[in-house]
Amino acid sequence: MEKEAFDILSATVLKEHRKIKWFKLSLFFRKKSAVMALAILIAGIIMAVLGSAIAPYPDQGLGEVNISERLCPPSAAYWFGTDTYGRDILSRVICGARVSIFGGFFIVICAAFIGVPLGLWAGYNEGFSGGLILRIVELFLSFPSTLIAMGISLVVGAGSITALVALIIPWWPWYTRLVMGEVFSIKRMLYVEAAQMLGYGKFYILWKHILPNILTPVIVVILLDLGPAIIAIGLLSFLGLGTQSPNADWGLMVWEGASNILDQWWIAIVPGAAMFIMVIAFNLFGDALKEILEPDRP
Amino acid sequence: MSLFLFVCRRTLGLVLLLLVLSSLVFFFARSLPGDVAALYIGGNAKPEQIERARIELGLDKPLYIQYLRYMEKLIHGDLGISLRTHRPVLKDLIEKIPMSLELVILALFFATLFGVFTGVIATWYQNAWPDTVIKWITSACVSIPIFFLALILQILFFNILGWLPLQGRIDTFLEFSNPIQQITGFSLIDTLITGNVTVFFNVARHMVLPVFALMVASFGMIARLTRSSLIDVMQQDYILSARALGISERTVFFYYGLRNALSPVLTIIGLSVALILLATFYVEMIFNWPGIGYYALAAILSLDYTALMGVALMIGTVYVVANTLMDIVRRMVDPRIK
Repeated sequence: MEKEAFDILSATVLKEHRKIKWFKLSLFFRKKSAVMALAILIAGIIMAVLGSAIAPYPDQGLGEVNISERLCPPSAAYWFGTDTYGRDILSRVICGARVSIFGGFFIVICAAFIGVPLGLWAGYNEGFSGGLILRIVELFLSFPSTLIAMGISLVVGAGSITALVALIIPWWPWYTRLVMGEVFSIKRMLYVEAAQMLGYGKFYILWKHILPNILTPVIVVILLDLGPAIIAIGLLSFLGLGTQSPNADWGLMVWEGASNILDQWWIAIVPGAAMFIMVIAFNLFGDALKEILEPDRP
Repeated sequence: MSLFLFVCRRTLGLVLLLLVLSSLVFFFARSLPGDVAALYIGGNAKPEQIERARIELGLDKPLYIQYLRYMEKLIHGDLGISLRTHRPVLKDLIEKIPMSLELVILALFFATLFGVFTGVIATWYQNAWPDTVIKWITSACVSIPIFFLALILQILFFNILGWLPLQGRIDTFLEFSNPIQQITGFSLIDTLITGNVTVFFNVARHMVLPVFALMVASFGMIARLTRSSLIDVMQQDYILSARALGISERTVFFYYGLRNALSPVLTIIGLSVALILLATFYVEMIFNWPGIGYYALAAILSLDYTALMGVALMIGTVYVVANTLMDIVRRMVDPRIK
C-alpha cells in the first residue's frame, strides 16, 4: 500500500519535472531572437560540415588561383565578387566556416575538459594540490589571454591547429575558477556531507553529487564563450598567426582585403560580416539559454 | 583586514607577478624560432659577423647567465636594442606610448561613461522598448570583430559620407605648416598648450574613428554588466525597505541601487584596459596610427624579438597594475568585500 502510494507520487513528480523541462523549451521558442539565432547557427553549422561540397567554386575555395577574373565586383557568376587572386569570395567564406565554427567549439570544449575536472578537484581538496591549481589559475588569469595565445603561436609557428591549441592554453583557467567557486559554495551542503558520511569516495561524490549540481552554470558559460572563441580565432588569423594562405579563414580573408578596402570593399567586408553574424547568433543563443536556465544570476 | 594591509598585500603580489611576467617573457623570447644574432645583423652576413654579434649580444653565455643579465638590465630600464629599428626599445616605446595612450584613455573614458549611462537607462525602462533596443545594440557591440568594425567605419565615414579622414594622425600638409611641439607627447594636450588650434581640431577629427572602434566592445560589456548588476541589486531587501520607508523611487534607484551596482563594473573596467590595449594592434594598423599597436604588429611581422619582449612586458604590466588598482578601488568603494 505504502509502496504503491510512493510509486504514484514519484511518477507524478517525474511527470511534473518533465513538464517543467518542456515549459522551459517552449520559453526558448517563444523568443524571436533566440529562434532566429538558432536558425542562423544551424545554417552556419551545415555550411561548415558540407564545406567545399556546397561551394559554387570548390577549388577556388580551397585556394586555386584564377588570375583572369581578379577583383570582380559582386555579379551573377560571383555573388560576393572575387579577391586579388580571382577566387570566389562566397566559396572561400563557405570553406573558411570550418575553422571558425568548429574551431570555436573545439576551443571551448577542450578548455572545459581541462578546466572543469581541475576546478572540481581544486574546489573539493583545499590542501596542497588544490592550492597549487589555484595559484596556476591565478597566474594565467593575471595576464591577457589573447597575448598569451599570440606568444605561443609565435613560438610554435603559425597554423590553424597551433592557433587553436594556443587559445585553449589561456582559456581553461577561466573554467577552473568558475567551477572552483561553484564547488566552494555547495560542498558544505547537507547532501554532500551525507554522502561523505555514508563513506562514498571522493571521485564518486564529485561525479554523482557535485558535478550535476554545477553543470548548468558551466554549460551556460560554455555557450556564451563560443562567440568570443570565434572572435579570438579571427584575431589570431588576422595577424597571420592562424590559418595560412592559400587556405580560407575568415580573419585571414579580412586581412587580405584590408588594403583594398576603399575600392574592392567586398573582399574584406563579406568574410567580416559572416564572422559578425555567426558571433552575434552564438551570443543571442547563449543569452536566451542563460535567461531560461539561470534567470536569477546577474 | 584593514585597507592599508590590503594595499600592502596587493602591492607585494604585484611585484611578484611582475617578476614572473618578466621571466616568462624572457623564456618565451628565447624559444622564438630563428637565429637572433643573424636577425640582428641582417641578411647577407658572413658567419664571422654573426659570431661577433652573438658575443656582443651575450648569446654565447649559458642560459641562466643570459637570464641574470637580462634581469639586471631590466632593473636599470634597459630593454635591449630593437632588431628592426636598431634603436633602444625603451626609447621607441616612450616615443610611441603617449600616442596610443591618448586613444586608450579616451576610449576607456567614453566606454565607461556611455556604458554606465546606457546600462542605467536599460534598467530604468526594464522590459520596455528602450531596454530591447539597448539589448540589441549592446549584443551587436560585443559581437563585432574589431577589425571588421574599423573597416566598416572607414567605408562609412570616409568613402560614403566623407565626414572624417581615412587614416593617420594629422593631415600631411599641416605636419609641415604647423608641426606639433612635443611637450607631453599627447598631441591633443600639446596643441592646446601651444595654442595650435587648427592642428588640435585636425588631430581630434583623426581620432574620432579609432577611439570609436576601440570603445565599442568595452562599451557593450560595461552596459550589459551595469544592467544585470543593477537589476540584481534592485531585488535586494534593502531596496525593498528603502521603498517601504517612502523614499522616492529616483533616490532609491540612484543612491541605493546604482552605488551598490557599480562594484562589479569596476572589475570589468580593469579587464577593459587589456581589451582596449590589444585592440590597438588592429585599430592602429587599419587607421595607420603610429602608436604601440602599430609598433607591435611590425615587430610580430619581422620577428623583432627584443621589441616584442618590450611590448609584452609593457602590456602585461599595464594589465596587472590596472587590475590591482581596480581591486583596491573596489575595496575602498564597497566595504562589503572582505
